[in-house]
Amino acid sequence: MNIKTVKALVFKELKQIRRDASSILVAFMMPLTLLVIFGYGLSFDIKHIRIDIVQQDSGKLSKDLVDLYSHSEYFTTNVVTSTQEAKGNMESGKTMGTIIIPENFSEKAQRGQKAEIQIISDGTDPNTATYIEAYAQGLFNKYLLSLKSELKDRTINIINRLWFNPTTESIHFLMAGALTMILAIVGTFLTSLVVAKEWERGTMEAMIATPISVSEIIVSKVVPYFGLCIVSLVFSLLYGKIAFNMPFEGSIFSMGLVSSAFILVSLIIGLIVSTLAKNQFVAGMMAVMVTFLPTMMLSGFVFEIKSMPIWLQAFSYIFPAKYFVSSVRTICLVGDIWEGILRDTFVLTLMALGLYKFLKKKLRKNVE
Amino acid sequence: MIEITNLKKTFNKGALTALDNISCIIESNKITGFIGPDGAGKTTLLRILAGILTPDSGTITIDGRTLDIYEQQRSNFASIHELQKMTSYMPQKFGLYEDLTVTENLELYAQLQRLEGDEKCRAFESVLQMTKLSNFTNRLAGNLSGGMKQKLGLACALLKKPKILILDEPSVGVDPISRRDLINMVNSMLDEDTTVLWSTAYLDEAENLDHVILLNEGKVIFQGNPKEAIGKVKGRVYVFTDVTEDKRKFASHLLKIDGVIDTVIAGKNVKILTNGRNIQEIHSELKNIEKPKSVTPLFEDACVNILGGMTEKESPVLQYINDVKFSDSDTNVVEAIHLTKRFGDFVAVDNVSFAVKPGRIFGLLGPNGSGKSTTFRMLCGLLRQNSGTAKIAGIDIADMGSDAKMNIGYMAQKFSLYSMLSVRQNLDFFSGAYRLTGKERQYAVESMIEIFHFKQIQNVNAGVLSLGFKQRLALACAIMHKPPVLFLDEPTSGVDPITRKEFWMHINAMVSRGMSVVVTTHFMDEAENCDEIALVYRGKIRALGSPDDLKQICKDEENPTLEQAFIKIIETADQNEQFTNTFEE
Repeated sequence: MNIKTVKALVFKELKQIRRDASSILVAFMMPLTLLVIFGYGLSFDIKHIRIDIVQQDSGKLSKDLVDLYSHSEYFTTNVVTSTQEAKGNMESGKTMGTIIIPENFSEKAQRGQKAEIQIISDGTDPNTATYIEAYAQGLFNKYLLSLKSELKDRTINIINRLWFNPTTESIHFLMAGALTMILAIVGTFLTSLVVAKEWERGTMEAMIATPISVSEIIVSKVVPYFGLCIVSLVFSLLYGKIAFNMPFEGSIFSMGLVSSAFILVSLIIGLIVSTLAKNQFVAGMMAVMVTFLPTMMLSGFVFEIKSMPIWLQAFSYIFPAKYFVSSVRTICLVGDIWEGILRDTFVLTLMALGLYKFLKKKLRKNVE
Repeated sequence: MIEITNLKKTFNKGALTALDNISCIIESNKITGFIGPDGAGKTTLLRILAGILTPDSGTITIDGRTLDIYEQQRSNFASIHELQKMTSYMPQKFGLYEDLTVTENLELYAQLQRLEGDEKCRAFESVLQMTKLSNFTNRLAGNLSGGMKQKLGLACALLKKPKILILDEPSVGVDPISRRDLINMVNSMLDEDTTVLWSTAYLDEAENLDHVILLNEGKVIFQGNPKEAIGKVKGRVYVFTDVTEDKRKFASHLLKIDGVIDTVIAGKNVKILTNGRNIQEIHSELKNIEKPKSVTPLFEDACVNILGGMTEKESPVLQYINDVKFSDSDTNVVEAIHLTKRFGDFVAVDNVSFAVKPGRIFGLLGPNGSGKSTTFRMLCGLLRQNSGTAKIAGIDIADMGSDAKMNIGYMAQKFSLYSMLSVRQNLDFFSGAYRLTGKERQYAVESMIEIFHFKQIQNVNAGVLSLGFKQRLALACAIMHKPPVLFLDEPTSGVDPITRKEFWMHINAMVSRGMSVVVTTHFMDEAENCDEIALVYRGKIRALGSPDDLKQICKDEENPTLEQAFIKIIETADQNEQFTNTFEE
């Protein structure tokens, strides 16, 4: 490999990036847009859900419980006395759910018996229904825990604490996914487009007819776009910190390590896609198919992998995004847990090497 | 010296033969021209020689050393890497980075060629001078004209003098002046140690070359000095000057005479190529016609001779189209009135006006990017102008209903038929689209199959036809409904000379039946068929008139040609513009 050749090509690429508004747009505007959408629009926290509380018990404990619900920012509560009324409100759509505190609730709880409440939610909107259930349950558990210390009762032993995302804000959880998405798009999508463009314009044909080697072509494409991805990553992290107060518990070093591995994989996938497609439109579609969709669906960033059918779970292991999402989450929310980070980095590096081998085989200096 | 032996290359698992056991010799210190229509195998051959395509079988030797074309790593063979070190290759789609400036492109290629210091400076100076691009060094390559782009592409390839220079269609669609510059640039670098391969679809370019290899359907049909081929038709080409009667009828009459294998209309003159039969005998079959003059044959005549001359003596279209005219035969069939089209800041067509009379061929002539296709598309109502009016038979195109559009036939530059339908299905579809019904429709389809010789291929999908047949099918679909006006956008670009001549025979036949034709072309010799030509350059009509009128522009020359006239007009236009630019600054 000749350093001067690579240098010339890298500088050429940088000039093109600077002049091409679309690559700047993809590298900076797109992360910004994604972060804003994930930050503000796609919050999975639903707040101020209107519910009724049917308070059939008049003991002190039940009053505490009602207080807890009414003061929660998740619910806007209205205390009614009859189940009938609550049912009517749900039917007319005034409320999305009902919490029933049965008679003798306080008494049972104080006696150390199993004290229960009933949570009813409107199943026509399954999403919100799930949240009502989860929040109501969560608050109830919190309440029981406080009772536990108060009453020193061992019968109540539900331990359900949310760690590593103390404020339970889904934005921090989603941010890891957003970062993955951004790097996948800048890395794979943009690279596949620029290389496909070179095939379309005939510049690639001219290039491969020179004594330049395949590795020189690959390196000269990887280097500038690697840089662009890093810039895009730093930009996104800073933006997340400033705009959403995104936690960053780990170190820059660990972040850099796992990101570098992931960016390399993305870039090589981009080069493979454009080598196979040689046409901007097809390359773009293929890039979306192999990166964007799996990142969205199968990385565990939006949909929990554990709740998928086994075969789909197995399938998710072939997508690099899965490893990156898990590491970024750890680094942002927990800190440098090296075991996981190193494992993910290792898998990503292996993928990069394997794909590089494949790319070298496919990107022959041949037009056919 | 490059020696090619029995080179074979097929695509699509052998379904398509691009090169059919080709053998030829390419000598150094010469420009070797690879000439042939699209699909003849030129690009495939050049790509193999550039080391970016692997043939199926055959051998290539360079200066006696076998080229390791199958990458067997044989030590006594010359490797592809070695080949690429001494080769400069300029692909058909010039390998320039459009978002880099002229200098940046040159810098890039200089760095790739490891040119440094003084050597680089000298190389830059010399190529900038040769290309006349010194004033445009900071312009983005994408903003250069077609001719300048090609020159820059060539300059990049010439920075470090290559031993082998491979140029794939460097001159296609380029204005005549740039074409001349390109050839001069290459000529100036020739020496004992260089071999130049130059492919082209233009037959007239061959005359400037020392050695040509004529390809057709993957086979070499002639190789040698073009003068040698021309020599074979010497004394067999004659011109009837100042034909007073209808030149089209006269030409078609001449072709029917035994011994005439080709006729060419050139302005008021009609040229013939004989099979060697005595011209006295041929002349004696004509009445009241002055004796024709013997003229120097062109390479095109030689090619037609090699390909066996015209197979048909008369266009069968004549039997299908009897008489097509608008009811009012005096109005202009097509009219462009102050047409202007802008794309952003760029004025593609600037205040263009002209009129086409019934029963005439009107030609829009100009290099790629001159604005002729834009004008053309406004005339057919495919593109809305920014200002001005386009009229067909006196009706504004904008107010035209679909009934009036039945008067138009249109053949697009790009293949625009359904490639997954068979030839017959395409004809069926278009006959329906043009509202032909019942017996008439059946007759139309059958006639087209007959006229254009589709019988054997009527059930073949249009997408897999050869370019010549694709173009024939497109023409058939455009004329089935016998439109009084026919628009043809570069109908013959890339097809072989015989098919081209056939096309013009059909066009001339239709015009003799009263049809009016508007045609765009960048072939000078085709423009000679037109009754009137508008010469378009940089968005403006620079000259308007019959071919003979235009030739008067350079009447100082002995035998003025359209090309000379064209060059003169462009030079004047460029000078004027430069003058205005300096004045404005």
